[in-house]
Amino acid sequence: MFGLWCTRQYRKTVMRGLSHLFDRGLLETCFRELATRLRREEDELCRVALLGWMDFVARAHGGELYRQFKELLPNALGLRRSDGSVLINCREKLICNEPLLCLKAYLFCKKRWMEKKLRSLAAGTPYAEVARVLLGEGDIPEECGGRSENCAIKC
Amino acid sequence: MVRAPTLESEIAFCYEVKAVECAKEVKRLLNRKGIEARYIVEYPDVYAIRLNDGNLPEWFRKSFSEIKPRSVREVLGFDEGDLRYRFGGRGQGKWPYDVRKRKPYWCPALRRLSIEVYYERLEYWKALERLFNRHVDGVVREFVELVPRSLKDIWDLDRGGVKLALLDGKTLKSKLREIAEIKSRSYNGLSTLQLVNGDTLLEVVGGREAEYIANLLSGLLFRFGCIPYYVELPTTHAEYLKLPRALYVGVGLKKVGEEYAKGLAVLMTGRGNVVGYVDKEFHVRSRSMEFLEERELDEFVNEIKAKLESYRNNMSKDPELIVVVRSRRFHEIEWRTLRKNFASHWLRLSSKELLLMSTFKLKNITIGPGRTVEVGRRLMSGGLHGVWLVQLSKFKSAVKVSYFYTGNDATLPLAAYIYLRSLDFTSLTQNRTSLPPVKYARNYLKWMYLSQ
Repeated sequence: MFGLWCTRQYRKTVMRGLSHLFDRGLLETCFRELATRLRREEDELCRVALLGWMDFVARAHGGELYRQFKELLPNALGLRRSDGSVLINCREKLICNEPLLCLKAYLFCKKRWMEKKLRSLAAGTPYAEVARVLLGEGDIPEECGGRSENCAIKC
Repeated sequence: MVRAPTLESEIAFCYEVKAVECAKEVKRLLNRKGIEARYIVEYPDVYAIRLNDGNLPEWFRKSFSEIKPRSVREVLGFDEGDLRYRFGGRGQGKWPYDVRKRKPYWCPALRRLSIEVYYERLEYWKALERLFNRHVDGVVREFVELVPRSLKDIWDLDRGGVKLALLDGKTLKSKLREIAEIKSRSYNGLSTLQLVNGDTLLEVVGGREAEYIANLLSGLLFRFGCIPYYVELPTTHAEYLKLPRALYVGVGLKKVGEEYAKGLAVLMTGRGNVVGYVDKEFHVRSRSMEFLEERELDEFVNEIKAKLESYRNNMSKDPELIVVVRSRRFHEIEWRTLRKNFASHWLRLSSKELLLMSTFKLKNITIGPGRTVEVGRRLMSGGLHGVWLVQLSKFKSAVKVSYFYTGNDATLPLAAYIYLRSLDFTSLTQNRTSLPPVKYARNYLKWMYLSQ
């Protein structure tokens, strides 16, 4: 359960600048594997959960991997218009009336008020479970394939 | 659809083109010339014309201009086919029919649900059991169990808990009064008793079995207080995102005596669960069902308002929007009273918005599948009034959506119609046109009336 502890703490760990403690090779392998799974995944909620973990891995790695993640995110979330602009306005509070959109918006905007909205999602619903992944308190759900050995990151 | 900006004297002579009297006259004259026409009451300068061979005479084209239907997707950015249904356990589907394959989105308790099935004839139960085992996936069967009970007496149905009654078609007729009494006693905003005509059930075998069982299962889960699926609105348009957090009030009215009508309001959340109801008797004009005493309507609205406030107190925040829906046109007094009460009381409390809408199926008027027409809109004191016609992809004819909205986006009522329709857990059929809170209110009123 070491990896699970890691997910609960990842935000603090990454924010404290302790990312050098992660094995960078493993982070890259994990990121590539998640990216491959993302291409195959059709369920939008599972896609968000995978992206939530990719976000964590990319931040922990930093540099090129994080740049790649930021670049792929709007398309992967289905938030890119045909003219290249992004569909979401990060200041629009009504976005969080729709839980799936709120999850996507949080990944994209990382706003504190969105975090509060995600925490208030009704417990026991699939959205609440994925919200915990994005908030660093949960793992990729089993129904979405769980987290593989390549992503058993040691902190 | 056509609009009459000017009318030449050879068609009809009207002092006021936008008056119903003029529209009646125009309709008569057009009919006399072999053109079948119907006018839209709220906007009497707009007519629906039947195009038999697509050719209309020149004199017609001079006086009328065509209003071309647009696709629903063009107007809203999505249509009903773009909605996605989210079930429990990471299941997402394009169809609500997936309810038989996936766990419900949310239930008040995580325990296994036991549905008592009272059957009048053993063959009904055998048929249901076969359909259930054949079409309901294991993951759902683990969560829902059917418990068969032989029906000895019709009053066996008058017990607590969610029940399914498989009755003979003849019993449904001969014991209608008793059934109506049991049914109306089982209501708490929503009935816990599901009635099924056993003969119809037998006819389904070998036919549309999967759809039938999905409808039945969805309705039963709903009666348990579950939300069978969550409807994901495929939009980022802020105005439409008010809909999932809106509170819906479905208003039904049924005549119960020569001069009396019973009114019922069912309150429903934007997730589709019923959270309360209010009923009241009214004095009405015998034929038109118009309210005779404004005071009675005031009282009714005040009671709805009290329910809304109690709901609001139990919630952490106000609904973004309150939507009052009914199936027939709001009478002028109703609009005024509803607006007065809601606008001056409720809106003062919450500073949120109000949408009043009524829907009506227009038999024999078609505008094309997946199409919509904005018949008209006008700015009134305090908001917008307008009418849309909409024909979703599986509708046989168009539905009229008439509205008053205190906001300023005239397309919201159209989005509200599509979204609200998708929250009907008691019917999943694609050609349904009715809206859930109104339908629930009308069903309750029907059983109340039959039991008296």
